Amino acid sequence: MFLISYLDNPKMIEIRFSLDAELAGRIDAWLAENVSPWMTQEDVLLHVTDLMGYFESNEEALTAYAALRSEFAELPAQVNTRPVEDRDWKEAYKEHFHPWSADGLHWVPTWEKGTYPVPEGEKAIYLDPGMAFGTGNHETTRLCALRIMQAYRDWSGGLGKSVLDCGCGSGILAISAAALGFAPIKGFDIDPDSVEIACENRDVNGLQGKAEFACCGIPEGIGNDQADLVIANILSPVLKEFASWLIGAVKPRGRMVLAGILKEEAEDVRRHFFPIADKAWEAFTVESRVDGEWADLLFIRG
Amino acid sequence: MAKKVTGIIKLQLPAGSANPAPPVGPALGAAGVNIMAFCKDFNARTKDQSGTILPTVITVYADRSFSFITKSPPASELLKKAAKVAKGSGVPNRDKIGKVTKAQVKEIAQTKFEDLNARSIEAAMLIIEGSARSMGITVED
Repeated sequence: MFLISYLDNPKMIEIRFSLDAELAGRIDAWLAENVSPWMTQEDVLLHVTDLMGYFESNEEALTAYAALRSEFAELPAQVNTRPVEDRDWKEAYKEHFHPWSADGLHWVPTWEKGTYPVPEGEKAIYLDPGMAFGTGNHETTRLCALRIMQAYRDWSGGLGKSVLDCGCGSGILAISAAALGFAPIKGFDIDPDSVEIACENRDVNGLQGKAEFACCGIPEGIGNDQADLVIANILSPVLKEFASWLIGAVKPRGRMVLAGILKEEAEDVRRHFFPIADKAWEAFTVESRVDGEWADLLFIRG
Repeated sequence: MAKKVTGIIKLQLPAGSANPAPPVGPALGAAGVNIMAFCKDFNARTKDQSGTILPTVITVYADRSFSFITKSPPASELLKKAAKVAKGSGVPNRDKIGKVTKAQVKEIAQTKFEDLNARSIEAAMLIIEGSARSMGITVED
């Protein structure tokens, strides 16, 4: 979930040029002590360090450069500004999304549709996450996806089991649930771009009408709703802040999956949720799994 | 075996609220770093320091994975907070814009000690006092 819409800033101006090693070292030291929009990038293999800045306008770029040059007079007086194509970096995420599968369900980039071999009898979900979070390649998403599969097995299918995906990002979890037959399904996110991307991903998979996505925060997204499976893959402080809302959204004999939790935070989050769940529910159990540096918490309501 | 480092990016980011908008997106995207994974990891690790700017060093490896460390906030940020001013003076020698006490300088020196490359806390305090003077902030006993 991200508060700032990157789509609001479709064009940028870049200033970028190489520095000699001695000046790069001094600028790095200065940047560590002074708030500044400038950054450096060292190519370790080529032994070259670039100074870089990204700005909204030419004027802003040159003003920022003049301010930096007032500290380092040896910087060149003239520099080139260059408009940067958004696709240069907005497409870069594609290199990081690789197909993966669990229990007969495959998560595949849309650009590999038609070339990725889906074994007979197994299902594929096609996703283009754009700048929304959620490909399944990150541990937090994978932990949640596996919890959906677990519920699917334990409940002998998803038919008639509702899902609420809080902080849906690319929609990967809600769409996975829809593909497995869970219904009805609602997802929401405070980032409007994520909601748009989630809808596109749902439609790519032919699941129109099977999952609804809205742009809102947790209280508004949950409202008076309750679901059999409540999923919140966000971050620990947000989960804790809205613990009562999340717990209140779980139906009797339903489940709540919490993720976006660093493994060393899992016990703290569990302790925060435990008394609230204890008050709201007659009985429940808690499980946790760890994947890399991340953990999830699964609350099963009795 | 240690992973092969290909690049090192140094930039300043708001603790707990990095997002894929510029400068994070273009800087990391061009270096081949997974932007969304970085933002999720960075925000989880720095949320306790929300409201501060953190100089951050991102190491990029040959397999496109990354690691990062954050340093203490810039001395200028800490001095502005201590003096309760929004920005430094444009003419620091002439226009003084605020004051900090020796005790506040010591506290900042302690916060930044690891990053300052100073031999003693007194030496670190001298560095911080120099930063204060260059911003038009007076140090009082």
